[in-house]
Amino acid sequence: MIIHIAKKEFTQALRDNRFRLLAIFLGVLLAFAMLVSWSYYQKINEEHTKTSKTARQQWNTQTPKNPHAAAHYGTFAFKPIQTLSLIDNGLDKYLGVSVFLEGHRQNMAEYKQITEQNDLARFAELTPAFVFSYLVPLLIILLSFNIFTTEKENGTLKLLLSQGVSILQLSLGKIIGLWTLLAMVLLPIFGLGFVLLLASSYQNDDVLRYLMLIFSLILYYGIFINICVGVSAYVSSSNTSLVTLLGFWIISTLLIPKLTTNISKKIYPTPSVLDYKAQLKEDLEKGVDGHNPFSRRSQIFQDSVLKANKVDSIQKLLFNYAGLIMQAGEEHETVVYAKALKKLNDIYFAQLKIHEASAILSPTILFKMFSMQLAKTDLATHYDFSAQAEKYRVALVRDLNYDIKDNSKNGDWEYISKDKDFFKKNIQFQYKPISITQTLQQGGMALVYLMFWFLGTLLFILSIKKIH
Amino acid sequence: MLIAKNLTKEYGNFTALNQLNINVEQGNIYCLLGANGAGKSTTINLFLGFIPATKGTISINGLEVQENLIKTKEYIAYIPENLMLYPHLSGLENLEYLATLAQKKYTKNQLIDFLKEAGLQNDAHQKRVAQYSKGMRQKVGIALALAKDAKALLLDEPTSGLDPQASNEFSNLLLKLKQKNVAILMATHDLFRAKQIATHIGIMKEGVLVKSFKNEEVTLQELENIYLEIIN
Amino acid sequence: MFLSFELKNILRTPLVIILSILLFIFTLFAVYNGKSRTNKQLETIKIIKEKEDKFYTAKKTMLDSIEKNTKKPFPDDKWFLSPQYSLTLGAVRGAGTYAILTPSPLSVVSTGQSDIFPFYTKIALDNNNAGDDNDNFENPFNIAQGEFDLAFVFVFILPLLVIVFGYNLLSVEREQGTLLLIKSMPIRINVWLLNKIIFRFLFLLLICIVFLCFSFVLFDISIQNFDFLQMIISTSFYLLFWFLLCFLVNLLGKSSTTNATFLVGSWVFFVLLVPSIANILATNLYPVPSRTEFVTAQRDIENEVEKQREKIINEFYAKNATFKKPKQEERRWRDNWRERFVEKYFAKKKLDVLQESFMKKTEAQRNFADNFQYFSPAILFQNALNSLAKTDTKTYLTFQKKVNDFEKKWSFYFKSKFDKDEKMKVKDFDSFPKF
Repeated sequence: MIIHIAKKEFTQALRDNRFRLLAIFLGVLLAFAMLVSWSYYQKINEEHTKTSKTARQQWNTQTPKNPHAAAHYGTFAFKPIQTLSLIDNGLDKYLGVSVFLEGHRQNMAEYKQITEQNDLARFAELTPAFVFSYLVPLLIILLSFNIFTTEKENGTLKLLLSQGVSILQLSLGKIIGLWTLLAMVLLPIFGLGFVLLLASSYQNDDVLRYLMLIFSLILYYGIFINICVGVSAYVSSSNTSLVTLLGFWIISTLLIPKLTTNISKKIYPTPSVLDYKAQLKEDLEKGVDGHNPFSRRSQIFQDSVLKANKVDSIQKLLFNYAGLIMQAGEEHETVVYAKALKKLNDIYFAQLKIHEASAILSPTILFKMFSMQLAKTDLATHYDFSAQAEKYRVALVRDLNYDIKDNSKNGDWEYISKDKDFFKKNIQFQYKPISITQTLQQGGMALVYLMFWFLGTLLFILSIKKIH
Repeated sequence: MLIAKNLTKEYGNFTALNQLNINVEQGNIYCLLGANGAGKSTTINLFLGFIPATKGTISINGLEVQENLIKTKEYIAYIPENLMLYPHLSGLENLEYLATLAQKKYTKNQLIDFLKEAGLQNDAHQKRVAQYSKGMRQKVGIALALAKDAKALLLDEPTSGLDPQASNEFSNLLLKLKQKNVAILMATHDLFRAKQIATHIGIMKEGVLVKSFKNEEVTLQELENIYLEIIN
Repeated sequence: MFLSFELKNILRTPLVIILSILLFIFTLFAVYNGKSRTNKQLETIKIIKEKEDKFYTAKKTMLDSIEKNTKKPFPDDKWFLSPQYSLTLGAVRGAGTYAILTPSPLSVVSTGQSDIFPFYTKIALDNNNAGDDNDNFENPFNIAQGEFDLAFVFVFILPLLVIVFGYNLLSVEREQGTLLLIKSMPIRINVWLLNKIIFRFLFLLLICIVFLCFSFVLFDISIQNFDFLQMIISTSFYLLFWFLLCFLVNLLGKSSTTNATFLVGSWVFFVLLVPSIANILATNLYPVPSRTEFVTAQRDIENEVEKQREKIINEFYAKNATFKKPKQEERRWRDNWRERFVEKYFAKKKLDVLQESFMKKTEAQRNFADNFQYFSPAILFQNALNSLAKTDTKTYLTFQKKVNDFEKKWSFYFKSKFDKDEKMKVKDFDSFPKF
């Protein structure tokens, strides 16, 4: 019985020009978006490999100089583009791509793509994720807002019910019919996405991530289908049903995310840059300054070093004290920057929690958050990259400072390593992508909430006992 | 007042109305009888100017309808089979609005008088139309005809679906309008009502006015016989 | 009468009432958000101005006492503390002036690009840290979502209200059966429909104006200016566009549901689809050269200059007889700084060329994307609001250009004094370049 109902919905919609037109349009749009994103990914990925190599080359072949001068000279870590950004480029446009690594300070990633564009860029961008999360739900609404109401208006519903069909059977049949239609549009697209993924330099867990993305999409569309069928069964006219469903769509996709943005900032205010820098400066001054051996803190440090090595002057140390104090300063600075950044990031993630809470009214925000986490184009992945870059910076600067400490004489500020390949031998930056376990730990709740939404809306349909 | 000469309406190969000649004078009630699809509503719609004629002429108060779409509508009032009004507004407000559209300015009291004259009970004037019965809505239609000071009234099966009492009341209203010298053209299935109020009766079949006569020329029984004869 | 009837009809539709109330709340909240954002900027501006004032007042007082011999001049190796040196006043240790883009009176209207572009920059000789001092700090996720500002309410939400107001003007008459009666009236249906549309347009426009004035007055924002009038005018054009679309769709004579579908489809097309397609075409057809490539190219120039350092410096001394290359043991801070400037300006010329070619490409992309605004009234309207709020890209780019020009002025002023080894005077404070 249910299958028959599903079949009827399916054939009926297939014969509907409106559906055919919309489905073809969306399918083409999605394929176009995917191909364009993929070619963009290829281009950036190639660039990244090339420029990372160049940056290292530049470090290796820099003019011979004092290791600490080299620390000031610095090098770059470039953020790689993630394979799944061809589905969801998430926050990529809004995040810097290049971190300048130098002694004494942790720099933030610079050069956000958004600042190279103009006002128009603040509107949506035609990425697969945009079509998936905004336009496909609209297709679902247009397809199903009158799935019950037309039958009420035409009087066919009474006819059906008088045949002994239960409302549940009817609803389930309609839902299955809708799913079949949707599958017709989406399966080829999912296939295309898979092929493009394989045609990229993907990591093993990217395939799993892609499958999970599809799974969360199914949940997301399931929510819309359930709501559409439920509302259509609940209200009496097609008009009301359409207005209600479009209202829900607007609330979920536009209103709530924007409202939450401001509310999250009200609850957890982002500090001003001035305050942030002032705090940083204050904290930096509380510790050893490697470039100022006469400060009080530096003197205390010097005394402790002398005491530990049981000598009475730095000249008598078996190593170059300059390298050691430089490194001590570095370590203090590292901690201060890390602390400041953590404080800031904590605020950001608290703001994200508010967005997650807003999902009680908006499944769209849930899907968006989860999908950018899967695509590794979210904030957490960015901070993971920054943290790795920072870890590398600390290790590199330590190498440099310890070379002074171990291989140069005290007071020799012109020291240059005798090893011609010294810079070449310095530690290299190896980016290790965030693992799927980490992703799920951070974003798994979004998936759970999506499931809640799905089950909740399903219960809504099951609870409909009577149709007027 | 309402004159059709050799009026023909074709939809492609289908002839909805064929060589109709009709003249409804002021103070006359012309009832058009006939089965569904006989061309009664087509005739009314042609007078209303909703559709253009294929051949022939049709005029109201001497003005060709299609050439004077706006002007001719000043002379007529129209009551469709199921007269619908704005459900959120009261009968009085509906009347007020529609009268305005007809370029007529009245005070509230004048409008209430029209409603009273049309027989709408006083307590209904301020109620929203959503609560009105069909008969009550038609009374507002009559009140509009009065307010418009219509010279002609076009009715398309107005009594279908009314209970006998309401139907009777409606007939009396039409007679009142007749006395005011209004020319009335009514399409109907209701032989009994036609016999009761008409001055002239025409029977149509397949777009042709097969027979027309004065009311007093026949009895109700004779009318029914003629009708059935023609229809079959 | 026609008007009062229309008004009654509107006021008795519950959906319209609910949406109007929502519009009021949205407007109020959006203006409040805009006001908070502007206030945050104004606060920052106040703080940095105070910081700058404090720095220069202290230096001026100190210089004054040195000039009046009430204070001993600093020894030469403590030059960086002495206000007698132009570098102390124009280059190092917190010296420098802030170039500030003060928010316009209507900046509350649209966040625009204000959350990604800096609105102030510290200018000092030898240290152009444009953007460094005021990295944008908002949560990137929030920036990507966009703020709930007035521009959002007007560009995105308002058309939906228009659609609710007008999608079924004619179709509902047909569906509830009143159209027959209307058609039997001595009026033209199109004119009658147009009247209804115009009335609703004026009604909604009036509501918007009232809501706007109320929230502006409530949050103490001036409305007695030409910009506000311009905003009302562009809003009315935008509203008019959507009402006319409703008018045309109604004339097609389809059912209310079809009308609603078609109009919402148009909304999606103009507000979401056209901009998104424009964006993707702009990024792919006119790609901005990669910033990573830019960074490495920059580094290449730095490396090259570093390698040629000796040559550049020698050439400088050969050309400028006034300066003599010091011997290593006679080297003073002046020599170091002089050579540093020489090297820096040499590199800067090359970096500017690189920067220029980069900027040209971004500009090409921007110009290309700009053409798309004519395909969507939503983009046009958003751009209009941004430019009224002075939060558009153009304003920020102009600001950046002005900052660069000003930096040259500032640097020239202090560097000339440095080159001539001129002692700074108290009266010089008034002749510092001003932004």
